[in-house]
Amino acid sequence: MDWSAVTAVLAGCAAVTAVWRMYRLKREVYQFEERVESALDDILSGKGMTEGEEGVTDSLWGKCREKLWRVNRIWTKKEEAGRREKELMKELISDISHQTRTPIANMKLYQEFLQEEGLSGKGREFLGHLEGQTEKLDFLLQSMVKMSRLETGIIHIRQQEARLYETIAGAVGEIVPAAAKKGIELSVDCDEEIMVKHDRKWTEEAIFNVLDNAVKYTESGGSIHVAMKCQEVFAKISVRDTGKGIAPERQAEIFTRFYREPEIHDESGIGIGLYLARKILELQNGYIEVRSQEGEGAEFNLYLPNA
Amino acid sequence: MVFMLKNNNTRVLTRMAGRSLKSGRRQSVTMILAVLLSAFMLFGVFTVGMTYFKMQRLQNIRLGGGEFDAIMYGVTDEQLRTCRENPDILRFGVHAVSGYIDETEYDNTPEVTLMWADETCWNEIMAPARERVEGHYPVEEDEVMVTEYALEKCGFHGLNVGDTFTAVYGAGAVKCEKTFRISGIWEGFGEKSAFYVSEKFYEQTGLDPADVASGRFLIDFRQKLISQEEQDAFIASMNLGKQQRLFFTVDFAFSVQILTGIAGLALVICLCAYLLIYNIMYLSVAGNIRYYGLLQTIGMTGRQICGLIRRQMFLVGGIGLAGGVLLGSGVSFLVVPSVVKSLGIRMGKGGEIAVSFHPLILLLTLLLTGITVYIAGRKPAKIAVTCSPMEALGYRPSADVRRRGRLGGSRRKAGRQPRSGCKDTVRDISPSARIWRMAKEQITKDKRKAGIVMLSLAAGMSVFLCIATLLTSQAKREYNYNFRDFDMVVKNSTMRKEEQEERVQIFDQTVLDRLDAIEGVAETAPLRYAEITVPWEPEFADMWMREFYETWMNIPYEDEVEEYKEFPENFGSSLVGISKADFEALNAASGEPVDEEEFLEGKTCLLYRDGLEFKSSDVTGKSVTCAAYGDRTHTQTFEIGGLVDVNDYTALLGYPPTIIVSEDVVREFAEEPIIYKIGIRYREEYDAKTEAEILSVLDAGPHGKDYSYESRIEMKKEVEKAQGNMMEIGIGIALILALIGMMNYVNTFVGNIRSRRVEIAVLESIGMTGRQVKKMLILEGLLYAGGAWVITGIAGTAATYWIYQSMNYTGAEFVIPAVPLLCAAVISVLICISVPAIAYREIEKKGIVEYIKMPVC
Amino acid sequence: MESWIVETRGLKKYYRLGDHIVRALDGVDFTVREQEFVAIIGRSGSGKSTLLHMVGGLDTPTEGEVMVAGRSLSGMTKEELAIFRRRKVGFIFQNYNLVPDLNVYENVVLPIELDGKRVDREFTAEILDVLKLTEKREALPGMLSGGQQQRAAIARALASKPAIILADEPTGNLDTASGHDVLGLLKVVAKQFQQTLVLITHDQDIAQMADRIVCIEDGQIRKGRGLHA
Repeated sequence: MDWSAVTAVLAGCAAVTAVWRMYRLKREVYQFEERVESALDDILSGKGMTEGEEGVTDSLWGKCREKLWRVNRIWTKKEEAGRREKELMKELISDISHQTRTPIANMKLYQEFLQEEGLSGKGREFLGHLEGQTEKLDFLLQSMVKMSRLETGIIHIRQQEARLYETIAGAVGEIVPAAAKKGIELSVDCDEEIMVKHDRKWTEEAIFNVLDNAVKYTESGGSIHVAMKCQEVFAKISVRDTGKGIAPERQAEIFTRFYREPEIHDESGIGIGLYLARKILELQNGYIEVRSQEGEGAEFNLYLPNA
Repeated sequence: MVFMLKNNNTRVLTRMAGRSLKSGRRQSVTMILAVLLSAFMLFGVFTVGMTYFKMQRLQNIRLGGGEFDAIMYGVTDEQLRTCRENPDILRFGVHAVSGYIDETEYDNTPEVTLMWADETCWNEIMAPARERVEGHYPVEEDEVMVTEYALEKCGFHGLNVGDTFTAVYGAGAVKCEKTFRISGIWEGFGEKSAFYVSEKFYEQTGLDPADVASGRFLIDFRQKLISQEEQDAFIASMNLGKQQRLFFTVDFAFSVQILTGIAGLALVICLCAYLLIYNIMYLSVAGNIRYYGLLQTIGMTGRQICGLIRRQMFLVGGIGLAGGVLLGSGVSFLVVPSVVKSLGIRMGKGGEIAVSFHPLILLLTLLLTGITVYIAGRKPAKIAVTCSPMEALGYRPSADVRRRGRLGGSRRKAGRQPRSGCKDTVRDISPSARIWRMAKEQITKDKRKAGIVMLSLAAGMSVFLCIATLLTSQAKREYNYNFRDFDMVVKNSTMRKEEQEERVQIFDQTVLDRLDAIEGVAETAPLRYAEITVPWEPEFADMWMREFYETWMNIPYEDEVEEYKEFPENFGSSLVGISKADFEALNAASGEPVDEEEFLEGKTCLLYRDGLEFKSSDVTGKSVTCAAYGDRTHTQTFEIGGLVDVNDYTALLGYPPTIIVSEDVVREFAEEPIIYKIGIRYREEYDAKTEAEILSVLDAGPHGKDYSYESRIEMKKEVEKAQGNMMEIGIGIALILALIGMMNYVNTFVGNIRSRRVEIAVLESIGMTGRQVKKMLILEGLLYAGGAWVITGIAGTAATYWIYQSMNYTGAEFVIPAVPLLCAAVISVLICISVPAIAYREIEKKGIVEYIKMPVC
Repeated sequence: MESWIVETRGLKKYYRLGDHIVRALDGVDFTVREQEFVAIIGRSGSGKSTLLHMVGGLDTPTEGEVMVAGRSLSGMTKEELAIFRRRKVGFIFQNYNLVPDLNVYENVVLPIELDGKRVDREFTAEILDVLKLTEKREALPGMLSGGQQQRAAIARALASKPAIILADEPTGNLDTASGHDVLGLLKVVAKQFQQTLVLITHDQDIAQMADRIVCIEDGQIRKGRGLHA
């Protein structure tokens, strides 16, 4: 046998082995990377790591997995602690709302008693103020409870296929007395057949809040028009009033908590209705927007994803 | 720098490459076709080359009986030593004549030689020529290695290894009877009418390899292609003796020509494919700058874009190569044998031309095509990478960027257009001139693109030009192999007879008269000769014979000089008579003209040199005497005027010189000198009718079968037969190259018009008529064709001329074939015109508005 | 200390146009908070696109610094910027810029695959579902309407879970109704998937949808408008 041939064969074998090993190594690296990635994905998405026997194998992945598992544990624990804290907060709020209800009811009761007592002119005036403020406090507390429940997710939004018309009708029906009282004309232009997946109760609340807001900022003799339209992605409910409008620079702010138009301090309300409406729509993957020019009324559009 | 593992993110690139090839189907198919065709052609060309060289080698092995590059007659010890020291020599062997079988009991004239081959020669050099061997090479003195053929020549039948036979053999001076034992039998090619003997036997005969008559020295070089200079240098280094000759068995010049031809063709093929692929990729990248920029905005790195384009090229190349190689190997088996035959390879019986398929060809094809595709794709990839996403976002398709760069070239044009339609304001320039200028501007706008298209068109056309020129010049070649360019030369075949009595006058006066009477015959020129002897005399004859023996004979002159002196009849020669015209032709060809008057008067004669090393001055002025054959008293003496190398006039060659004199002198000297050759000239060249008439006249004579003839018509037929399918194949190659060029053109133009849709729409919307637009586009097409022809005219013709001259042995004039070229020009112009016309009709169908509305983003 | 996802300091971009120098950006300090939706408005040529390109690493500033997700973009090579974009930035353009050869799904997962990452099928399916593209996932972009194409582009921008989504006039090529739809969706999904969104527009109505509006004029941010905490 020729030496050069032997060498060539050996070299060939060595080369093949080397290439094969490289290939194996590369594959292993890719596999490793994939496992790390999928484990991290699981952790990030909150699914958590499933227990597997790889954790006890003597491999790089086993080692790495052990660490990841620990990270996951700490992460879950922290999250749990946060959740518990939140829970406590919720309980606290719930307690507050519950505990304040009785004193407020009592306060109202005593105020009624007081009215039957003969009070001086001044005293009657103070009592009137007192009654107003109590009313406000009651409303505020109720709104805050709603808000906190919505924000903390205590209330579940249940979206169901339903006629949007009925929801709108409910909200409009509720606002009619207030509008009539203020002498505002209300008109509704609605397709009765449109079906949209939405939570009827809360959507009604949102629409009502927008309508309430419109009534509040529209002078007597004005009008409010409610319309509905189905677009490619969203169903749009628009509420147009002939009120005094909103300055553009304030438009983004009106949906924030406790925002109130600076000019209207005397009106009742605490600037929470629109915020709630926004929240409700967002929870249903919809949104709310306003279009307005100062002095030319305002149009609030509520969008709910259709289909 | 931290070592980092490369991100495993290439799978998506492969998918994208596949998708984009599928969506740009027209370009992909064109590119694949280009790769396929070029791989096919490369494969074919290489297979032809490989098969040719392999067959040539096989042919040489079979003809020579062994694998060797050079053969030398006689080898001295010193030369052996030189060879041993020469590193270029792979091996060498001695193959020596060691006698002959004189007679056996069954056959008196066996004509079987005894040969001795040394170990290298038998085991290495001759082995490839053998097909079957039984037994072993002779070792003992009485052993022989035989062939069936040689045995049969000796009259032996059915002998086998181990059997013995008795024969009289001659070796050198001795002649004796001997019983040989057959040690082996072989079959194959080479010296088949020989018995191979042992070294002991050879030594015993007393012959010497140094002897030219015995030793044949076979040399196999390491290098297979040996240039003429190297051959000469080697011959010089061997320091040959006077009698020694050294021949190379391979025709280097021809091999080199074929090799350069193959390389040149491969180069042009690669160039064509490169130009096409490059252009398509360039256009597609330039047209998709936005696409690549977009990919960068969503996070594709430059490396990935490179990878994407590389994958595209890989797919194109892979599909094209696979198809091309499959097609190539399929077609090769059908076509290659005839091509190789036409290149002059002849295999004997049982030696069919086998197509050589070698992995190397495949590898070379893959490599060359691969490199071509790679290089073609590299630049466009670079462009795609260097475009920044910002540019890409702002980039608008069509010529927008260029517009910006050139301060609104085409916008200015568009603005100018209405003025040209309004003749009142612009009188100095007609609308057609304006269109002409616009077409020209369009081409000069992107010089590189236009240049590439023209070049690629020109490459195909140049190859066509080259092949057409070569082939037509072959076809037109003057077959002037006959002396004085006669159309036909008739020869007296009885001249070949041994006995003087059998050599008779077959072309008598009646035959001559009849020949002259044929209408188509313009001239007949009979050559006559008389048989003579040249009696010994010390002055000239002795000198001539001494030189003659030294050069041509194995025996020394001294051995036979006495016989020559006594019986000059045993040393016959001829006195040849030539006409005045013949003499003039000879005189014109020779460097030292002889006085015509003296020659015609019979005072001087010319001598045929016969390969002897005489200078004219050695013999001129001396006189030569001749005597009539069989009549020593009838003599005549001439003064020698000079030596002639042309062997057209020799009749019977003897040892003494052939004496050429004027025909009148011969007629005077001999009673009826025999006409041994007649040159016939026709009124019209290649007149087949006349030739048939001449042949019928000759056949009708009393010696109807005793003539032979050579005619230009016959030669032409022969050459054409040998050329075989060369014409078709050459044209095939040219056509495929032209097709690639055309594809490039079509692709560029269609792409060009598509990207200019908006511009054209704008032109139309401001009042340019469809006819004018069409005219502009057709003019552009014509400019492309014109440009391509200009390149072909300059570079193509130059290359063709160079190739032609390097292959031109016959000295034929360089003529460019007008008709095929004209056809090619017409076809190319037609295509160059019809492509824009058709492309325009396509976009015209959709209407203008569509293009104006087309989003420009 | 606020955690900005985007922060530019003294950002300047000048370039030559003929004889004079154009100040596309002239000292811009711009910040975006995580999960914020910021609209940049301004007339065409005001430099708003330039700012977006800088933030997305498509263009390099003449002066100043861009920090995205805690990394400074200055000094990154072209390749690094490409990888940065692929991992940190989702782009949405006016003309969709989908890869025409790939279907909707493939387009959406392209940035992930370019990074060699595992495609999170559930997540992608969710995105496609929210964007109402589930039925069109096998369709090629050429077969879709403008709104659908832009939704596919939004899905692509979201799929790789980038740190920030940059949208350059995403509704520019759409009619008002579908433009609105698309933008509403963008807003909704950005909220839903907790994305930070920076949007360029010249349309006031569209800008109104943002949490915050930044107005750029002559390469500078105009102060005192539409700011809220």
